[in-house]
Amino acid sequence: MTELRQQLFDILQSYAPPDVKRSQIEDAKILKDLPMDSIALLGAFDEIEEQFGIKFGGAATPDMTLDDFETMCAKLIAAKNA
Amino acid sequence: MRKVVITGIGIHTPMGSTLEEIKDRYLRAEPSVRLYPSPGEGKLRVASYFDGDVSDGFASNLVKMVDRSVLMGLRASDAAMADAGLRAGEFDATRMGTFVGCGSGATTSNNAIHEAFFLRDRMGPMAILQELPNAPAGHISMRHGLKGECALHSVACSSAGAAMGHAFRSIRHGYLDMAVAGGSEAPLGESTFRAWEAMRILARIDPENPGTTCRPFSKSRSGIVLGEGAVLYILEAEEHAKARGARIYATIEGYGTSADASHITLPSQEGQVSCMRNALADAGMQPSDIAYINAHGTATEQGDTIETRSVREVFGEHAYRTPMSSTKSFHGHLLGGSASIEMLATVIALTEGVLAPTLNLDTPDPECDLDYVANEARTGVVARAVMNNNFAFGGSNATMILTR
Repeated sequence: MTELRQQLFDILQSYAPPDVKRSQIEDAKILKDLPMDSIALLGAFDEIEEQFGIKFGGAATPDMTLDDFETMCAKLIAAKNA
Repeated sequence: MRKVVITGIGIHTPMGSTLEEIKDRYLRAEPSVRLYPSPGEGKLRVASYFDGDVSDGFASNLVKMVDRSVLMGLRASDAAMADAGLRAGEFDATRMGTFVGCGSGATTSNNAIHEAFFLRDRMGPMAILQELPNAPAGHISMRHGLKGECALHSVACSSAGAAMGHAFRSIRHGYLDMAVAGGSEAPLGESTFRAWEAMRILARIDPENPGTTCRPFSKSRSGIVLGEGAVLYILEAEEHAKARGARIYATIEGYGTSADASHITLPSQEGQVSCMRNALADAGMQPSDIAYINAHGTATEQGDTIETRSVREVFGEHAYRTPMSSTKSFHGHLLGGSASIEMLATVIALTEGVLAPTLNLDTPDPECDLDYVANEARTGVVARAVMNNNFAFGGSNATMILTR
């Protein structure tokens, strides 16, 4: 698992109910399958933007796979640092 | 009509977190008001406030969506439920309500949200949830699964009084068997201080003795001191409490309310008199039955004078024989939480025979000529009935009368 994916999981986990196990976060294939409600997921998007200094501009959606989401984040971070 | 009793108390304040700790503060005459760390040089402030992080122990997903006032209220609700011996699944949750007073709302969140918006053009998806006015009541009902009526009262400095009054009436008239009721307030923050300072209503500060800043009824009083905290009670129908063998702290005999209908900030003697008389009538009592009054006692020039006149009008000669103190001299003004933290003094008077003093009262204002229990607590007092007064900006008044 990449360092970025670990960091994304940390943020996502912090928005999940306290009884959600880390494995439930890691096993999700699509963002909307994560064990949290839609507001919590939006909160996680917002915190990821803040923490990495990036803007999704509406491109982050619940239907994305976690792989695609990570790839998108990586590209935005690379562009910011370029 | 049913009798309504107090069977649980949850305290989360800088004064302490148990009735015993609060009583000891009264006996030691030790306020929780102290210097408040402010940004910028030369800005001297005092307040009664918590050290450390009030979110400790709460789940991160909750902390991210609620205001500080909600967390403090949740902490107090946990303590109140435990104190009353109430565990989820062991009582009829549809017969238990939630009534919380909060006067200034989600101050901490509002400040952070507006700062992010105006300085960084950011608006988080949790903003609405963090600012939701009824969030303290809603989260308390969710946490404990309480399915009876759930309401937040916001009538400035009488908010908690109105909340407890609503709960009291709901139980008395049979709509509920139990309720969590009281107040939670977290008003401290740069914009709040600036707003109160701009209104020129905050007290002058002695940096060497910050605990002497709040001086109700004193000739040298100069204004209010802000404070934060939450105190919630479990109110319960007497027969319900006895059936489950609950400990009973006190009985709520009467609740009175009134509106000044005169001025947005200046209190009205007529409104206060009406409020106290409504409470006495509701309790079926005479002024001479009251052995102690917890005053609103904000330490403003007009407020203390008018309150003194109001008590004189209601109580007549008995006013001079009725001890009346303002515990705001200990914990500052909790605004919407005032009535609930101050009702602790009435419960302690009834159950412990200890009257909380009014601190910093060396030279009373000649206009304030009653017995304010100056500077030292009184012990060994046998009080049958006590009164708790709160009078708010906007003219909303609330009086509660308790007995043993």
